[in-house]
Amino acid sequence: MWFPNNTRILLFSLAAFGAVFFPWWVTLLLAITLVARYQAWEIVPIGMYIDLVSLPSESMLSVPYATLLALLLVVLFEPFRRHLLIT
Amino acid sequence: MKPRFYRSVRPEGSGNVFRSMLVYALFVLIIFATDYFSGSIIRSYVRSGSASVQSLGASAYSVFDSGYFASHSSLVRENQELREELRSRIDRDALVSSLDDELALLKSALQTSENSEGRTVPVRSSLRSSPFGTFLIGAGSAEGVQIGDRVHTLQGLLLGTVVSVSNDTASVKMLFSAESEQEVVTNDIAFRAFGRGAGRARAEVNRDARISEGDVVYAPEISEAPAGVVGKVETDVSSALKVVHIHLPVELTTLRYVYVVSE
Repeated sequence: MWFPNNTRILLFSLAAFGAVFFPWWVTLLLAITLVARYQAWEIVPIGMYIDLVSLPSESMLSVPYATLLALLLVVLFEPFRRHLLIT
Repeated sequence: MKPRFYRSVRPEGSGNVFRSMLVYALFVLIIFATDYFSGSIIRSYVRSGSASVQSLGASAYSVFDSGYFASHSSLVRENQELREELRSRIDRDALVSSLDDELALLKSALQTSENSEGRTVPVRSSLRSSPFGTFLIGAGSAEGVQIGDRVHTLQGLLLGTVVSVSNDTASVKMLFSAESEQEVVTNDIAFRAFGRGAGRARAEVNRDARISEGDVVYAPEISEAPAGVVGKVETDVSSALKVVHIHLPVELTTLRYVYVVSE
């Protein structure tokens, strides 16, 4: 059975809290830290939250940058994490 | 011989990352499509929830800032002020001083209200947390806020315009958000300013233009209110242009109320 460890929960909580209260770059740094260590799909909802709250346009054509960045971060960091950051 | 067990060098689910990404991308697409076709109902709920959390955070910060959990240095300073004023009931005074701040803000809003038509509304999200230069205010279509309404500080400085509205919140895009361009005027000289976020902008003007530090900048396309102040002018002897740095002379992170003027 899968149990998230405390560091992962702490980083996710900080990132979620940061998405509401901290400057955006703090959340970005925390998200990068998460994906560098874990396959952290939980950053995708954080990206969605940022887009839903902050994205200025409601047009279908407006690009949800934060969500796409979250998806890309998880995928792009996967080989990096697999080869270099295994414990 | 006893078998030896090695820890796997493959992180969990590494082979399925692209499949997982497709699933998450589909999930994201469904959420955003539902939001779009339902008339932004998901966005509205998320923004209302976010506004409530921000409001709770602001209240907690207000207590924090008013003295209960202040840092040692600010406690020392505040204690000196309190000794001069009341000499007793320190805890109660911290709350009172917090309410005084609120009252001063509302008095300031009242003065602004007397001069123009509009309404004072609370800020419901951090002006720093959005990467898109937007923030939420605690009034929406129910209070008559519309897309295109102008948003000012209580001192009358132009902050931005309302770009989307839900029932009880509205999203405001700041005038000088990052990557934005805005036609501005100062000393009857018109030029284009490029936003750099956090109420700052940069522009290049003719070297001979009479622009100096402290000049007030206006965005006449949007409002007659001042939109910023020239903070610094950089002149290079080898260049035909000089660089003008514009900023809002208010601390954006401490803004708790703004003034919304309808079209």
